[in-house]
Amino acid sequence: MIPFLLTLFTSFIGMASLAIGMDRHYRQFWGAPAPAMRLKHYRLRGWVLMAAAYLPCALEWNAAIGLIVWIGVLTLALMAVAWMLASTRP
Amino acid sequence: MSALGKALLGLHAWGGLLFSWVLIPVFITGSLAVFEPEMTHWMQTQTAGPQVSPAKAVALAEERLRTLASDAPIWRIRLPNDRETQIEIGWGSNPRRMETETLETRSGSPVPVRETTGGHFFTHFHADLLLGAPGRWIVGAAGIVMLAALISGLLIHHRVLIDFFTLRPRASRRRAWLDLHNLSGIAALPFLLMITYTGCVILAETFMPAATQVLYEGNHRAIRAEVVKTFERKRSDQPTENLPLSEHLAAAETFFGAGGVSSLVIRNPGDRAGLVQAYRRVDDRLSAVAEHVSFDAVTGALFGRQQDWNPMAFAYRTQVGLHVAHFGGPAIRWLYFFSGLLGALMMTLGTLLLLRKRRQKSGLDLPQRALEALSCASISGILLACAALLASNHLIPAELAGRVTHETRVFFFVWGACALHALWRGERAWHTQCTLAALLCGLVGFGDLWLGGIDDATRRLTDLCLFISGLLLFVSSRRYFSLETQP
Repeated sequence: MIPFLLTLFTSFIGMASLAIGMDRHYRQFWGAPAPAMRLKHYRLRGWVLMAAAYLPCALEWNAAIGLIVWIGVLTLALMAVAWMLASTRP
Repeated sequence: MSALGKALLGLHAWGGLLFSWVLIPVFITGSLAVFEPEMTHWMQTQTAGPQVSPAKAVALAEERLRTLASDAPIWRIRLPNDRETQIEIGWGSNPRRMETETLETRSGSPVPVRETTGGHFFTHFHADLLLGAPGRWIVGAAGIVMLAALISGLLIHHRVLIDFFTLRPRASRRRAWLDLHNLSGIAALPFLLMITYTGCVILAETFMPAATQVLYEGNHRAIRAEVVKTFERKRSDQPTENLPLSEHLAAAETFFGAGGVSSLVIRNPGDRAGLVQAYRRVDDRLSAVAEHVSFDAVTGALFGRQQDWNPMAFAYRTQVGLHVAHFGGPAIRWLYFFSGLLGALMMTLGTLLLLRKRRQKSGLDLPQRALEALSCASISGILLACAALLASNHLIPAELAGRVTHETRVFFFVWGACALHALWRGERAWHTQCTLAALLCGLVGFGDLWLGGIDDATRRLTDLCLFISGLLLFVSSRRYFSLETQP
């Protein structure tokens, strides 16, 4: 249960960072235009966190089953982040 | 738009619409089929007993089988696991058509279960629409069109890849639907590609039978026989005392690990040539292959075992395993459930977008009415039909003869009625059917709690899910479903 929640949490934060790394959503989130370097950092952090989210799954189940769980969790994370961005005023 | 783009859009939109009438019901029932044992448990109105050790379960089952079917040529015992807490025994001469009984884990006495197809109804409908070989053809064709629609959709909506977080619910209705169509498609894309592809692979033998015809003279069983070793021998007709089954179980656990046995099959029990075959559980690996060992029923000596597989067969069964998802526990089941429903949502929105566009162009002519009615039946109609099936399961008296057929009839009757209703009422039918399905879900959940579901964890959880899905359906049908052409 705990590894699964860890994956869920990490991929959500990763997916959110990826979104905030995009100009439009950065402004949505912080309410100010973004410096280019910060966008890049956010995106990088996003990809790294999403990749890292695979580890708890792989350890809890095995490399193969963990992969399927991880992909499913990324689906949820993307839906959740998009939903939350949509409910914040631009 | 380029000519290629136009062609792709035509394929995506019309291929998607025409086959969505099959695909959406298949996706919805497939998502429910992930929970087949739980649904069966709910539909049989069982209450779970305490968890017992495999050895205790085998001893109880053996005792019951000895009194019940001592002369049957085959016995089968399904051991309880995390999902099914009761013992299922079967006996007869044909392993495909056995008499079955469910035993309670406390005393080993039979539990009265409601006669029903249970959760298998959804699996069966998902696989071939209950039509047999023609159904498999239809579902297979729909799967191939789905693959084409996924790829062409990715090419048409390629802009979504630049920013797939776009969701503007407050924009025009068309914008909001299109955003959600793209978003759910992208989010579930890995799952959708995987599930559709593996689904087609499972059905491939049906629509590409050439290899079976040439190599096995059209006999499907021959392929299986070549891959799965069977260890059998003729009955000797010398009655002998067999070793207790729990000893065979212990021997099998030395191969598969403690708790690794999922079921036992006993051939010619009580005979000198009796054999006990133990199957390993399949829920801890992707590949749906059941390793098995056989022991001499009298001496307990190893008679044969299969723990390695033809690599091609193993790869094929991995794809089957990916599709049926027996691995990974509740996490995988819920993820498959949500991803499947997300796929159905994506197709629903695509259907609505096309219908709306066509209505703007050609008004409410006869073909438009027919298209809208069929789409309505395949989306809100199937939800209502599933809810009606669950309701009929609890309403039809348990002792009524032929109640299984009645349940199936109710499902198809309601589905057909939904199509007619949609043809008659036009777009108002969406809202009516969704609201009815939502109310029915709530009532069924409540009714089950009242009928004793409150004492059983699985049934309580199912009822809770019914309430939640009823509520979501009620709210969303009120807010979002409308084919009005005004923004």
